Amino acid sequence: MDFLFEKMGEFEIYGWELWIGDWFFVIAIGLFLLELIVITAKKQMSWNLLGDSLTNFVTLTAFRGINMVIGALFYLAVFFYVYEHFSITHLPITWWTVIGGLILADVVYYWEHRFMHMTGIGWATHTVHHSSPYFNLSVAYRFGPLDGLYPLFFHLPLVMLGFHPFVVFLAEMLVQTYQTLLHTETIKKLPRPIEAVMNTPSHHRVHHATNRKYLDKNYAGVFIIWDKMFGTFAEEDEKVRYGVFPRINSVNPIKVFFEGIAKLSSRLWHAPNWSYRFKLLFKSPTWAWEQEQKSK
Amino acid sequence: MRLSLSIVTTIIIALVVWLIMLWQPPESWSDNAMSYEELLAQTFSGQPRAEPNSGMETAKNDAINGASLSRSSDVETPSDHRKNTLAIAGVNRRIALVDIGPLWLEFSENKHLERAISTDTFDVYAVFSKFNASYSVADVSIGYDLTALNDSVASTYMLPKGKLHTLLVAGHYQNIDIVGAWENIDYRRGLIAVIEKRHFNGDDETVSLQAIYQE
Repeated sequence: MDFLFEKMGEFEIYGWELWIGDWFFVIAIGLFLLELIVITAKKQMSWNLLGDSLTNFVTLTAFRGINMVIGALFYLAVFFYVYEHFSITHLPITWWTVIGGLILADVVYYWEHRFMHMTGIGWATHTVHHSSPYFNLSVAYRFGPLDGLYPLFFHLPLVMLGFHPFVVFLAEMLVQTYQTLLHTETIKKLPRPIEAVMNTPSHHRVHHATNRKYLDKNYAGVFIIWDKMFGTFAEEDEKVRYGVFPRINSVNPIKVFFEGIAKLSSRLWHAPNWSYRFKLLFKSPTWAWEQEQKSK
Repeated sequence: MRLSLSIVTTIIIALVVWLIMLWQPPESWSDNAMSYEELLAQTFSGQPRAEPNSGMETAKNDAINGASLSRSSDVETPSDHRKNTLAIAGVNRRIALVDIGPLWLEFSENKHLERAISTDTFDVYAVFSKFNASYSVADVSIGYDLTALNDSVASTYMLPKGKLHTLLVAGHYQNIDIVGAWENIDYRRGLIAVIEKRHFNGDDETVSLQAIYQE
């Protein structure tokens, strides 16, 4: 247990983030290919599914490109500036600190995810991830244009508490990579103790569902306990339908990637006043849809 | 649970976890003013490292104070194939890298070697080779460049062959910078040796760090 408290260099932590991230992607691709075999065996394969999967990886490339710009110019600089000037303390870089960082990053992710669903400005980018009518490992890599921006604001408190920026990046990455494996229909339900505590493919299918009883549920990253604690949990007990409403009936990666932003921009442009515009940005996307239905 | 209560609960959870994080042994909290031996021991804690991203280093340093240290990852010099021409005379031992301090002390206390110095400027080399699997133990040779010594001293070590790569260009550095340069080693290229060279010119001392790779 002494290794938990052995002090590490900041670039050693960064090295771990790169190593885990790179190898996990390789493993995820392998698992996705296996999943395609299972889908084929179940006679569920189609050209549309393959096109949708390809679109997912195109959005990943675009997202990574945008993130490199945001990260290089903004994210790093803000994190390190706050760490050096506004943090309460500098927690030692140890695996113990990483564990604590992981727990808090997961709590933070819950709220960031809830924000992405409950505000127009968040949903405009996050809708891309939910817009696929399928549910497989490639959907985990279906990102929106601004998905890399909002984590900055939600994870900044961790830096202020004294977690080194590279520890926060590692914790963020672990929370994200864990969820990759949840995007599958191949695994039904895991043993009850796991289902009780951890986020699982079953819980995450509920999150991606358009079934009315499953809307705005199961925001968790790694631990489902946050949803149970904060009243946003739902158990999977009926067949799930995936996608968003209204559906994006396209595998065009450009249309998929920018649909949410384009819709929000159009609504902002046609808004009757600034109060309405503010509500479009910060009230639930359901509110915006309801206003449109009223006006029809 | 109501939204406001959920937020309050989250804050409480965050504070509890943070307080638990404060509970770590004093060694974990030791600051940057470590001795060279402690820094080196910390670097070789048994884990192989991925190659760091020079863009991240530059962004981090610029973000903090606008200045950037001269690190090898920012100044990539071409590798060249080094012939085995350098001989040094000093002390050799296979040690755990945490024990590097006593070996340096043994070298510095060798008065015979010190008396054999025949030039005003000379180089001292610390060569680390034949690492174990976790890079925590190595054959370490610390010695003077044989060309700076008189005939009373014989060579005790010859540098191995391989491709030479500069990790740290010659300059004035603190221990933490030297140890930090070790993190730029690319273990995927088959590390043969690491050479720390200290050039003495009167009272002035500059340090450089190089790696010898198989490829």
